[in-house]
Amino acid sequence: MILRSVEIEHFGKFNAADFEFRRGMNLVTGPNEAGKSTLVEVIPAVLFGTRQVERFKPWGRSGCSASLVFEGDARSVEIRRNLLTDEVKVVERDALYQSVPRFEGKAALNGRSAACREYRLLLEQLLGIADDDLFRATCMFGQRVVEWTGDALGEKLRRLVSGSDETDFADILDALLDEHFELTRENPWGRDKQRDRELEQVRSMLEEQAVNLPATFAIASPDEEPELDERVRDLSAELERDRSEYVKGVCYVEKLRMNLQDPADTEEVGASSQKTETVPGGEASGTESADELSTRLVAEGLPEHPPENLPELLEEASRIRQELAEFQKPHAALAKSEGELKKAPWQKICILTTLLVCVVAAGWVFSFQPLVLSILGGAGLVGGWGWCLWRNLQHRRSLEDLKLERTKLEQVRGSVLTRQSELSERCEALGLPSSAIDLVRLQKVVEQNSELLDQWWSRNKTPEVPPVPVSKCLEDQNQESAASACENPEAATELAELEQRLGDFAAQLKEKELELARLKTRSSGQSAGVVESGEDTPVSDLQQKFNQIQQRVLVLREAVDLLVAGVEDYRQTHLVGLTEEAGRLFRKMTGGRYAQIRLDEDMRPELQIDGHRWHPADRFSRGTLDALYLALRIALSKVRGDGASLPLLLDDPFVHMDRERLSSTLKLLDMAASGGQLILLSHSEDLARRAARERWHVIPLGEGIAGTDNEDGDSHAGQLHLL
Amino acid sequence: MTMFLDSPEAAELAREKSVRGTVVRLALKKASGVDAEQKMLLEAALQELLHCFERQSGESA
Repeated sequence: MILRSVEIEHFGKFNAADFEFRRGMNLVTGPNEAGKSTLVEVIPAVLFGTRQVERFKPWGRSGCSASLVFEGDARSVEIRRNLLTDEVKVVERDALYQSVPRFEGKAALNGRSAACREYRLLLEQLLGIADDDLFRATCMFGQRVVEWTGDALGEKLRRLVSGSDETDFADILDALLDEHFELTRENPWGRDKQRDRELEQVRSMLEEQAVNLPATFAIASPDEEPELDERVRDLSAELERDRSEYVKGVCYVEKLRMNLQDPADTEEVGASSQKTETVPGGEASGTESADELSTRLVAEGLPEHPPENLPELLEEASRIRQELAEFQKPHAALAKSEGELKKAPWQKICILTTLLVCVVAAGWVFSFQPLVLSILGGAGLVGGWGWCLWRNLQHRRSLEDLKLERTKLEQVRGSVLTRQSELSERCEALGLPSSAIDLVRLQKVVEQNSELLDQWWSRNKTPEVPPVPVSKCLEDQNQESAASACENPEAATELAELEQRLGDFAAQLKEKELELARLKTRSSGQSAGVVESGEDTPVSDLQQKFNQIQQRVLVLREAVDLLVAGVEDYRQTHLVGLTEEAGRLFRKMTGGRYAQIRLDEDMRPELQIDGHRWHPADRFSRGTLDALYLALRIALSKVRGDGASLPLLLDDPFVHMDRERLSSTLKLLDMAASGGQLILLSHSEDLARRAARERWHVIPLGEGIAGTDNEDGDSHAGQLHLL
Repeated sequence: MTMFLDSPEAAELAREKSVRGTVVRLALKKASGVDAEQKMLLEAALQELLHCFERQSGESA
């Protein structure tokens, strides 16, 4: 958009003046004190407001207002501001000159009201800029140099080229990094803080739980699963072979014993031994049916050796679960009651007190029944404060009651948890799962297979330790063969040795069976992932939480990487665009002496000399600096305007430039203005002559020309297009 | 499952000349050459960032 006209009423030197501008180069010329700087100052004053209104307000005049008309895209926008009251009116007109009011309200400089925000949003939309400092930094260039790297301005410019003038990406990045650090205490981005880390805590809790768990219930990691299965297979095969060997050994011992006995007794002893012989994992007699039963039990999801008190244990577990579930209701009710408790309205009573004191004070000041007001006020205060204190007391009592109730509940819950813990230990001792989910599942399976279990229990009265009957059997056999051993001492010794070795073998078999049971439980626990430790926090929950945190950490890392890359990409695109454009302009201004410009982290410009050395800009002469800042501003207005240049206001910027640089700069400005608008203010006669040659639009200021205070009557300035 | 990264909204956001647009563009570019798991991660990260942008612009308004 271009600035089409400026209308001023009682502002600085101007009583009533109207200036028109055109696309391309505009030159406002006039001697010192003609009002050039005032004309420049009125533009940001109308757009954003000013703190210097007293400076520009003329003595003895009632109003102080101005309006700007911007034109572009087949529409015009008029912004009118009362500079004393900051009342702003924005009207948009289309190509058919139909007016649409866009804003009307009070919009002071740096105001925070909703109207101010709405107005700034509109400015951003219309002109692409809504900030006084930024406007001055990008679109204005005057004798009084606005420092490029002032604290606030530097920050604003940095935000501008990093795309964070509307959204603070540093804040978002900080929030993401903080959350990542809170979870991991890891800092891949080079920052360090002393905070707790949730992931580490949960990991250590998991490790602790895993250590506390009996080996039977330790969870295998997913990596261990194939290895575990292989070990189970190997051990099962080994156990099968050992059982077969054991049966052979028992048979051999039996035969030996029979040889030592009378032939008449042989059949009887053999029969009796067959009745009582039990090998680990089954009976010598009827081994097939016992194995079948065991297989069926395992197939149904029951333990291989279910204890007789299994139903009682499961019922107890069910009762405990029910009791724990029943605690939820009173807990929830307590929490609700706590939430519903109302605190004493201290804020209200304070307001009431202030009001009453004011009323009483007013009564005394204005002598309007001060005594009555004082008594009534005092009574009101006493009543109010008394009521408030009473409410506070009630609140505290209720809180204490609730606390007491909660403590009682916790005590009862604690006893139930103790029972649960004891039950878990008993289950573990019997080789049963102890987690709530497994027990519920087991209970269902037990109910469905009650007949099968009855068969098992009727067959195995002492199922806990399978090899025990072997020892018992051997002891019985020892007693039976004691008499015959006396007749053949060598054979008796051999038999005793064999029996001893057989006993050791049975013990080894028992250990292997336990190991197998352990491995199987680990494997099933790994696949189910629901093993409990007997503590309040189930391992599965911890594992789940651990996984969730890990996932969150990955998401945060990805988000941080994306954001950093995005901001850097945007910054590079815009910053590189800015420095390239500024470098191109500056190179032309200086006749190719300085090839490149770059901006450091603090937006301080640096110049490259001799093609490789970089020097801070402040080491150069005033003329070079002026040219540099001018190039930067023209470039910034282009980058900021996304190609559509904003009006550029230059108030005598060439005072420090020599003739050669001035010439090349003016050529450049002429080129820059061809796509947009450039308003140049100068007292230079040379420049006025050049304007005449180049056919710039010229607006003369001075005595008897513009609508200054020196001119009463015609307020419209005559505009010379050619001098 | 429909993903935001495959939606027209994402393509529209990617056209924005802002940091948000740049971030979405980068995410789309990354998502084109990764497996499904990594894509899910990118999707979650982008949603998180967009949520942050939205929250902050809501706060500043």
